[in-house]
Amino acid sequence: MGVEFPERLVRDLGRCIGCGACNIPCPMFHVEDLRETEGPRARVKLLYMLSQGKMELTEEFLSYIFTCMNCGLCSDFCPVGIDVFDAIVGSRSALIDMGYVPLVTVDMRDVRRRTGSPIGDKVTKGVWLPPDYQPQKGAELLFFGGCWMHAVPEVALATNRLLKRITRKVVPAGTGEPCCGGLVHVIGERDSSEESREELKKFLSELSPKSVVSGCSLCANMFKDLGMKDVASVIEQALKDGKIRTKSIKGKKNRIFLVPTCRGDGASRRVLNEIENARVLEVPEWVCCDCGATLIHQAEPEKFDDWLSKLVDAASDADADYIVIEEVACYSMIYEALEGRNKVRGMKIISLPSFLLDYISSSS
Amino acid sequence: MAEEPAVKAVEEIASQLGEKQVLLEDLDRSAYSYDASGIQAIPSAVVRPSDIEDVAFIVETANKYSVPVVPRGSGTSLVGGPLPIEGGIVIDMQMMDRVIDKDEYSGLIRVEAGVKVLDLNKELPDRFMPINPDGAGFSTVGGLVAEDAASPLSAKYGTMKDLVIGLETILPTGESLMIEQPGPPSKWNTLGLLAGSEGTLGIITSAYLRLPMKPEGRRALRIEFADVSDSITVQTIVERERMDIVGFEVYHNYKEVLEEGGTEAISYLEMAGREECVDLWSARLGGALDSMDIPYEEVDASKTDDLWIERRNLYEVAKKRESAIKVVSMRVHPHLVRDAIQEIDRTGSRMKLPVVTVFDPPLGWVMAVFLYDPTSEKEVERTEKAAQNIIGRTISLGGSVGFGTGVGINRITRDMDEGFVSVLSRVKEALDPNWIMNPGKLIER
Repeated sequence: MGVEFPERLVRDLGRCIGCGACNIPCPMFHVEDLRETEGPRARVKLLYMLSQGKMELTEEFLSYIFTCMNCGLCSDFCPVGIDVFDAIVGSRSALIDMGYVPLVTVDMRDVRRRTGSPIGDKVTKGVWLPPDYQPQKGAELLFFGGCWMHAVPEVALATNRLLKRITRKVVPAGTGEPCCGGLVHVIGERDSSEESREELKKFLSELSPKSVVSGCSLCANMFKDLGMKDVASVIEQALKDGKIRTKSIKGKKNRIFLVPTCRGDGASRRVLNEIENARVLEVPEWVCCDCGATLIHQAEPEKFDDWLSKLVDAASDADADYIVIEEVACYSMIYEALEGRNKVRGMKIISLPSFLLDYISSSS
Repeated sequence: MAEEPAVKAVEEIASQLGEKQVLLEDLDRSAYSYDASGIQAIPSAVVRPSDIEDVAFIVETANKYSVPVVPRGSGTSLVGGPLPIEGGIVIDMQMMDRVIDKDEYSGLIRVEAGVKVLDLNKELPDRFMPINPDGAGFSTVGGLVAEDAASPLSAKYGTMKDLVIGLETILPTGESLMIEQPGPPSKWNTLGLLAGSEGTLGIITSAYLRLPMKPEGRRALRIEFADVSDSITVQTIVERERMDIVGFEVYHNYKEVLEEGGTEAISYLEMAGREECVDLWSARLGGALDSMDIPYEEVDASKTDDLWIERRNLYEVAKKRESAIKVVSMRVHPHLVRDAIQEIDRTGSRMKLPVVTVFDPPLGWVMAVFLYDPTSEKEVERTEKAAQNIIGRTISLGGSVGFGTGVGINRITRDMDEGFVSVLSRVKEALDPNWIMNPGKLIER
């Protein structure tokens, strides 16, 4: 007997024609030298085998199913329309419902229970704000940081300054900011994710801002219905509205290797392209990173390091001057992996908000 | 893990390639147990060579212990090509993905077997015809050559073996065999023996290809057939008027299955040649279609390059019906295409399975695409029966199974083609006396 997944899920898993198209954009598949096991096709096939009793459910198998970059790029590539990432997340949820929770997730669960954030042991919320800071109600633009934002105060400050160039009335959400539940959602913790969503809704309705920008693109993507937008989209809109304008890059160092968020619509690339004299380089399709990578970063740091070194290779091959990282979560993880160095092989590693500070000014 | 000889062979290989390139864990072995055929076979080990020396060492060692070896590219085979159905070691060729050299002027390119089609097609200038423009581009060159893959363009440019002008192959003894025929074949064509041998004679490690130039004038029509037989008539007109066709592919029941009652068949036909010829042919074909009351439209010139991607839209059917698919590919004499289609329709209705038939009249290439619910055991069983029935009927029509996809596990037996089996078995005995190269595929022992 196999593990009993919901019928709908089994159908989706069983429908996989095995063409391997979903492996094409998968970051881990590329980083691990195209090893089949690392790609989404293997996960879907092996989960199906599990449902058919042809695969044993071991601790190793569990953690395998739960740890990937969580970028979701695979879903766009399936020719027969299986939402591959959704099927993987659905399987995680089903396994959790049956009581099969891998140790890495158990750890994250505990941290969340204790601190209110799945990465709570790494951050102190609002360290970059005055100790007695309280957000005003009815803000023009509420700046919701997201967990990782608080791990790198310099990016939080840079983002805040950047947003201030759009409107003086930016209000950081502060220390009371709840967990958005994005990360717990992708690892299949449905209940926690729902709980977080409710808390977030409550938090936002109490502050009742006119608009919300999220430093975390995973939150922004999941809570579009609550009016959340990611930083790059807000900047792009402000450029269109003429509230801010770009300055040109002086000098010869203008080659930018952008590591975008995995959930965006390309706003970050378009914004960088607006900067005069900027050369925004083409990047391979597997290059993207956001908060979803947290689990692999924590559970299998050596794989995260492999990913980073391939990324640096790609940037270096493209002769980049800057590696610009859109997502603060990703920036923070890379910063940690590089032990605080902000230069590799002559390329400067910088977060998108910090980079934009030099090239965006207020129109007024 | 498997028996003693396999363990020994794998140990020796690991000491040469390094532990990291030898995968023995259950997870890894299971991940290499499938392709796009729906069949499953778990290898005793997966090895990942980086260069031709690695491949030679692997094959020689496996031969010493008589352990089967099965080469694998991206695992996109529809016929179980990379599956170790008689056990043994899977050789994952994907890390061998270098472009060795190329001549942009004449469209010559030499690549390692693990290079993917989508990468290969980017290597040469736009004036050359891409290979397999109908696929997702994820298949490897080694796989395409070994299975002698076809595409709608095969009507004009032939199958993969016709684009190959050189191959480097590792034989079971571990020796490397380099065959190259740059000019017209003044020699006996031994390349054709290896291209299409499905890994049963040796492992292709690199291929030297010549890509054809794109024609000067191209014109494509989209034709709808209320009666699918009319497409055969169109093919007759094409031949009578000596039109130069790049490809002509018909999708029968496609719209019907997609929309529950649409046109019986839609098709794309691309002509190519000098501009004035193309003008003349399209006027004549248009006139003929008008007189038969067959609706058609010219495809926008800017879209000609992407025309054959349409085949991928077939997956839309599986998407809309949320079903899985099973493909059976064959080639019959062009005058028997109609019979093959009827046979497929009949099988589909007898087994209560929706089926789309894709066929290329100039080639006599027919593919049955059955749609089934993977969660229903009975339907899975009926699908397998339907596939076997089609294979049997193809043979009785004098057709050949596996055109364009390779034969794979649908082995050719003596009853199917005595002469072919006899020659191939002898070649096989001579080159691979221990039958270690991809056993269970193409021919029966």
